[in-house]
Amino acid sequence: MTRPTLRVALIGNPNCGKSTLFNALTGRRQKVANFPGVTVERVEGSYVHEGTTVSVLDLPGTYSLSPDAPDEVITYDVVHDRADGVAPVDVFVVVLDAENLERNLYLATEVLELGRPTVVVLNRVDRLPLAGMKVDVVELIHALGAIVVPTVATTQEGVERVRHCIARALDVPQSQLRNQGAVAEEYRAERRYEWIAAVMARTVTREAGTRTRPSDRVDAVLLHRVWGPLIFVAVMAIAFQALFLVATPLATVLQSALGSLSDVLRGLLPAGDFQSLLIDGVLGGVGSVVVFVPQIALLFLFIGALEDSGYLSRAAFVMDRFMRPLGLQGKSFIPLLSGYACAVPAIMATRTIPQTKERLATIMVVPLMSCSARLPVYALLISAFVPAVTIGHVITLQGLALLAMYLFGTVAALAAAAVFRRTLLRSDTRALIIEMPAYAKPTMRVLLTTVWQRVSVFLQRAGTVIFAISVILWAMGRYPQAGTPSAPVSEEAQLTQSALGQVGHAVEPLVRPLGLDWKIGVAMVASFAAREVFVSTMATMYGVPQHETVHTELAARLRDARAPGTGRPTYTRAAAFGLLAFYVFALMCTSTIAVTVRETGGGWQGARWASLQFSYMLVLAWGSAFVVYRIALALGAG
Amino acid sequence: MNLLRLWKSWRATKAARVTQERVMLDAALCAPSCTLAACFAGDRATVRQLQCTKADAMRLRSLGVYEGAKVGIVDRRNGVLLDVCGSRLALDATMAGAIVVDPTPA
Repeated sequence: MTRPTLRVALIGNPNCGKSTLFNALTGRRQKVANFPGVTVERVEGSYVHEGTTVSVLDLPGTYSLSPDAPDEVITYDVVHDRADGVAPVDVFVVVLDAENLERNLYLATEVLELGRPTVVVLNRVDRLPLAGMKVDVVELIHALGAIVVPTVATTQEGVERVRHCIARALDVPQSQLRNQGAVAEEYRAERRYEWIAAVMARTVTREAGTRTRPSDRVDAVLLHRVWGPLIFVAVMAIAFQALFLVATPLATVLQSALGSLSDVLRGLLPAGDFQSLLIDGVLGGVGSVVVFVPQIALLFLFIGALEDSGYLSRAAFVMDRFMRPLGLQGKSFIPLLSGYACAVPAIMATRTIPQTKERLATIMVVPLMSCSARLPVYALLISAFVPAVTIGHVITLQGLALLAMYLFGTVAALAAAAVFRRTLLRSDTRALIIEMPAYAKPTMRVLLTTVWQRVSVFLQRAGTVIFAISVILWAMGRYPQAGTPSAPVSEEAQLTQSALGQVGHAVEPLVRPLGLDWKIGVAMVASFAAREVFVSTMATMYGVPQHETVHTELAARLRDARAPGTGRPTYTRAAAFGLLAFYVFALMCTSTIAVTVRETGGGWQGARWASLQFSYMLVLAWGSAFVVYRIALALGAG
Repeated sequence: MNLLRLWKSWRATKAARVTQERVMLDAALCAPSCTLAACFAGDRATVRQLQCTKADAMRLRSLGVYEGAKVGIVDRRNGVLLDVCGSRLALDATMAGAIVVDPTPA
């Protein structure tokens, strides 16, 4: 018979191996959500021990129990049983990094003074010999008056003992540690550390001459003013190259598998609405979700490896000086750079930023970085309207135009971040105080668990929305039907008559001042599913068959298109430049919107941030397109 | 005579300058306090005062940089890298300038 649930909360410093212990305790039985009203992640899991279901809450890493940052407020509220939507905790598990015992004991004493059932886990004891340290666990148990379990969470060593001690924690006497800090605040830490120093003297023996770590020599290079940022940029360049090399073929394999499945279904099912729903709607929707999975998995494998190796903290420190003038921090750099590949995993990567406002500002500007889905649109418009002139035998005007698109996006993202941090998301910039964890070899099992957690969160939370929107857009393109089963009409005529086509017509007054017509309006609305859909929709509108040379043929058609009646070009060069500017800044991507909603707190709170993101980018895009169009016209590009 | 007077005057000025430099150096070395930003790599120092916001001070204290803590300066080419309770803590130059310490030169 299963007894009532025992509620356990894991508390520990950042980088102490807390999440590894959490994974070791709960396996894959985990649930990721947000704490109500904040963007702090709430990770819960469970396991069954001797017939009792034990529910484990992995609290955000904290150095003390002071309500300082939002993450720390959550921990503070949970330990004082006043966190919204969190049931009172029965047993606290304080995780200590054995190598940094002295500093980790600070938080441990604060938790033990609460007088609640507590199990102290001395993690990473395998690293003690390397650090030239020995810890007398029995003496530590006497000093703290609490159960202390030595573990190596990465290899599961001691994890079963932790489960056993959690089950017994309610039956053993609670720690008698009291009032270590009942003095004025500036003396509180001193008193606490004095007590800790006495405990350290009794429990820890150090070999002489082990104060200097071998990693200090590595840090001298990696934290160097000049070499540090250069090495980091090189690491990122190599990683992203590898990411492209591996993720792109994987996504292609997944999509071609779905394509083959579509072909099979096309052969099996009679042509009609049901076939189109299954193939274009459902499989198309699944395709637009799974295409992100390889990128998300690889990006988080890479970030996880950087974090677990201890390098991420170094990178955050060296990049901080470049990001600080913008109101962002060193850790914002990786999401911004990931934005060049795809905004969806990039927004998810902002989870490494602990401060809420910095994280929100990063999320708001990431979609301005030109992602890979914009490339087909840039390529089509540039090849159609920018002359292929070589400048100085080195670079073509088309290449320069493409570079300009990426530069505009990047400059806009950095400027928008500076504006957000000085207005809506203003907060005092926190001083840079970063702990540099010891270098360690990442464990593949731990990394894969993190990757699995991220991918499943994406599939459950954003994937469902992306899928639903893809199906809705399919239906809007198919209904109302222009022809009848006996007298079918062309794809172009169907698209014109469909709800999507009507929306295109409806938005024409908005795109007309930009020198564009309703056909571009239709393509713009359709490209909400994904920006690259702009090319395929335009191809359908101009009756260009979808094969390898679609870009070249469509570019020629757009160049040669003439307005009925006047015989003047439908799309002037000025209008094309304006359209390019529009696509640099506009958030034409439902997947990004869905991920923003989820990552900024979900529900109404998330929807508010996502609408703000969409609106400011739309205003920026339309305004830039208008200005570029007008300037180009004035310069004679009409 | 004039040359001798000039030479004596030059000697006196130089001696005065050397004395002044020595006084300044002694003052710097024996200074009871300076900030972490003024310390050198390899120094050890005792934290005297945290001249920063309350939140930052609390954060520093929980990380082991409290009034009375003994810290080691591992590197100070890009901000300051500290040895605190055996772990490494990186601070930017502004933060290092806000921590008053009693240095013990290496």
